[in-house]
This record gives sequence, structure tokens and C-alpha cells, in this order.
Amino acid sequence: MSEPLIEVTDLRYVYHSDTPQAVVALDGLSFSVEPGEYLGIVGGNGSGKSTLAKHLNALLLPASGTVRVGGLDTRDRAAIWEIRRRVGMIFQNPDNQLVATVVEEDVAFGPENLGLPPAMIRERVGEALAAVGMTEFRRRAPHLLSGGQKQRVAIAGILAMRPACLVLDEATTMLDPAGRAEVLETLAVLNRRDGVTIMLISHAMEDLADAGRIIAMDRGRIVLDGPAARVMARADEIPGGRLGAPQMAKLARWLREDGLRLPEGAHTVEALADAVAAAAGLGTQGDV
Amino acid sequence: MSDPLIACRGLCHTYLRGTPMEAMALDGVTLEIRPGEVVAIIGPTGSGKSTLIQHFNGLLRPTAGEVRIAGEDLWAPRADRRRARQQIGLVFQFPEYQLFEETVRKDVAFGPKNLGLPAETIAARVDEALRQVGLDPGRFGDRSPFTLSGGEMRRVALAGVLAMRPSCLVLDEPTAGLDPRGKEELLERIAALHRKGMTLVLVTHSMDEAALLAGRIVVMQAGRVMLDGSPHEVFAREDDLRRIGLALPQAARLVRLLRGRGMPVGDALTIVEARQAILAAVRGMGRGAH
Repeated sequence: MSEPLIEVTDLRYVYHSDTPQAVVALDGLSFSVEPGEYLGIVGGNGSGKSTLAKHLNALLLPASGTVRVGGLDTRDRAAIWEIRRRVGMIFQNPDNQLVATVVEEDVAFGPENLGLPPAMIRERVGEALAAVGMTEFRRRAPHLLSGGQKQRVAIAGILAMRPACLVLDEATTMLDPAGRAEVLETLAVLNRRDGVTIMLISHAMEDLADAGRIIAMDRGRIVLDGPAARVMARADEIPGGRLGAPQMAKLARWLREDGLRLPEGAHTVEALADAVAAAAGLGTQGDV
Repeated sequence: MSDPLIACRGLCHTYLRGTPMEAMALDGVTLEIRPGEVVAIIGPTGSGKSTLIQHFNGLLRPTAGEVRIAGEDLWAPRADRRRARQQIGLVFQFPEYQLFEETVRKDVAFGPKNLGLPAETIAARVDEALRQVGLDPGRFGDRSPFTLSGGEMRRVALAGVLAMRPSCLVLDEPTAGLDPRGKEELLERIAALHRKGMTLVLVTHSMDEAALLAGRIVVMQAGRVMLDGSPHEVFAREDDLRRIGLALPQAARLVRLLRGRGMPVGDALTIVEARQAILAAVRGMGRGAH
């Protein structure tokens, strides 16, 4: 078994500690992430998921417990830049993440700061833009792109740093459905084709259809951690009650109550269509 | 038939007119919203949705065409735009970013105070508005808005608009960024306002929400109204919607896929409808087989 990419042990974090407004945001979390995983982290507003994200590249440091990235402790000040290079973060608002006036300059910003030679920077920028399918936009002004395109440029800017892991914190929340689909598709390709480890943080279970594993959080704790299908099927039981199953999982449960024999895990439109057709004694599309 | 509450005729809006950055955001929009309607406005980013709703209460001035509120031309020489702004309550995206007062009560009172109402009237309106959004004034009134959850903050912002006693609420992406529970709570409050007679205009990216709430859907594309009809009429035009990057509600996609597999399922736009349609189809098939 390979060494975990990220290892979180008994992580605790308190905002405004030692004041009357102290809030325990993370209350003893432990989990690890293996290279190449596509992990979804789901939780309601206030569950601590964004606080957790900020611990993964040392934007916040644990009050107690440890966070290790490739074996490096985030409290080790000497390791901080290496940790930030390895764990790239993408946030909700793409406009706050783009800094240059031309797409390729924006993507080059990180590698330039790493002090890489110009030829290598050009190579990395080219690769990163190709990886997110934005090559033809390389000379455009970022502010004229759509939301989904901006997020893809932000992702390219991180990829150009050759990170081991991408952490996306509500990165689809401000996008329209086409932009959201575009970003999710890009992540799925990066994960499957290039083996990039993905941690996608969202409160929408629907966003996590490509995740292999899902961690559900409530009030600073992990309340479920397992294969995506199992966590989605149990979404309604997640303590705190802020999540709710995806619509198709809810419909599947109703139909099961109505007597249809449906397997667990049919939580996307396509999967549920297959399951209902099979239960009704019809073949899949290929057999018709 | 009642007069339209909002009526746009040939409405055009061009940003930065006469500059190289000139952009036509609205290109001849004709549209009426009647009292008591729930209208969802959908369309891809940049289709003109947000520009359109800013015309509904006179925040923008038409480049051409006209906007009438309850029959009155908003931009006629002696038009009372203040009154129109009070009548049509606009709730922007992420309205909680606009909270600024020390307490919830003060924040909600800000609008009515500017109307110059007496203190008791203001207090009564604030309490009523907080109750309308499901926040107990006793429990929340004296708290700082910044100690509330995201969903609660958004409801405070909504209360601030309701305290102006509008007859129509125009909401731009009201549930964006809320978790599923926060969404559900907010949508319930909005539905309750409608049951009490409030006219609602809802700009949304979520086809599922549009299908669930709206009696009528307006589809915007490139500054024009592309489709305008009941949810069933609009979502029957799958190819047109897909062409501009919009999808069907999940329930509608499911029944379409099932029909493709040879199952005789009726139309459905919500999962409640899909459940009934699928069960009816399964039972019908069972009878056919025996």
C-alpha cells in the first residue's frame, strides 16, 4: 500500500479561541486520502468543511492533532511552500482567483513564482491549458470568459504548479448548469486520465456523482465515510439533517417503497433509468 | 382579467453605449407579469436575466422601449419611481453580503426607516417581516446578523425587503450557495408568501426549482425572450433548451430516458410527478402482460 497523500489525525480547530465567542469548527477528525482518489466531502453550511479545506494546505493550522501532506507536517514552517505546491486550492468565486489580464499569463503566474526557467514555464502552461481544454482561449482576457471557463483557467493555474492534489471548495456554487457540468467533466477527466487526486467539497450531493468515496460532515465531525453509492443512499440519515438525499436517490427510495425492485446506488438520472427499466422487465437501451 | 403588475414593451438595454465596449443586454423584450403569478426566468449566463429584473423597479433606464408598473410608465416625466421601488422588492444574489447593521432588527428596519415611518409602525413591520421569513423576532432580533448561519443571514436580507411591504418580490438566484436544508427552508417561505398573494419573479439556474415553484417560465437568450409558457410547454422544447445550454429538470430527463427504453411513461417535471407516472406505467405494463 502506498503512503497516504494526506493524513489527518484527531484534527481540532476553534475559531476565536479563549474568547466568549469561541466556536469549535473541527472536533477531532481523522481520515486519509490515497493518491489518485476522487473524494467528495459533503456537509451543510457550518459543518466545518471549508475550515477543513483550509487546513489541507496550511492556510489554517490545527489547534490540536496533525495534518500531513506527503508526510510533511503543516505546522512545519519550512515545509509550507512545498505543501501549498502539492495541494492546490480552488475556491467558490473564479473572479477572485484570476490575477492577470491574459489567460496564459494567469496560468504562468504560479510557475513564475516558483522561479522556473521560461522554457519550462511555457511547456507547463501549454500542458495545463490543454488538460482543461482551454488552449484556444490562451490569449483571451479572463474577465470575458464564462464562469465555467474562468474556473477551468483557475484549475489550469493550479495544475501548472504540478500539484499532487486538487482541493475544490464549493467551486461550482456560483456557476450556471452548463458551467457546472463543464467543471465537473474537467475534474473527472483529470482524475481518470491523469491520475490527479481530487477532493471536491460541496453541499450538493448531485455534484459528487463522479466521486468514488464520500465523507459526510456535521458540526465538525465525520458522520459517514464510505463508498459514494452507500453514503448517497443514506444521505437522509446524516445527523444534523442539513443535507437530504439527491432527488434521484429520494425517488428511488419512494419507488422501492411502492414495491419496485431497485438496487441500491441508483442516484443519477441515468442509473435510475437503467434500474427502473430492469425492474419493469425491459432491457437496457442496447437490447431494445 | 387584472391589469399587469409589470409590463415591458420593446425593452432594450445597451451597456456602455457609444464606447468600444458597447454591449446590448436586452434586445426588445415584451413581457407582462400579472398579480399573483409565480414566474421563473431562466437562461444561460449573459442572456440578460439580471439586466431585465433591474428594469422591473427602475434601477436601470431603458435605452429604448418602456416599463410600466401597475399601469404607470416608470420613465414618464413625472413618474414616481420611489413608489415603484417599494412595490417591486428586488432581492439580489447573495443579498446577505449587504447586511451591515449591528442587530438583525436594525438591519430589517433600515428600509422602513428611510420611508420616514413612525417608530411603532417600523417595529411592527420588522417583527412581521422576520416572522414571514421564519425567524422568531424575540430570538433573532437582537443578535448580530454576522453570527447567523448562511441561510439565516439570507432570510434576514429577505426580511429587509419584505419590511417595505412590496406587492411583488423579484429574487435573483435566491438559493445559490445554500445547503439543501437551507434551500428547502427558503423555498418554503417563498411558497408561503405566494399563498398569501405575493407575486413572485424568480431568476434561477435550477430547472428543478423552476419546475417545482413556477406557474410560468420565461426563457431568455441573447437579450430576447426565447420561450414563454407553462413549465410543461417550456420543458417540452428540449432541443431548443439544449441548444442554449439548458437542461431539463431531472425528473423530466428520467421519464424521457424511460420512454427511450420502451416504457410508456407520462410526462413529469418533479419527482412527485415522476413517481406517479412510473407507477402508472409499471401497473399498465403488468396488465398488458397478463
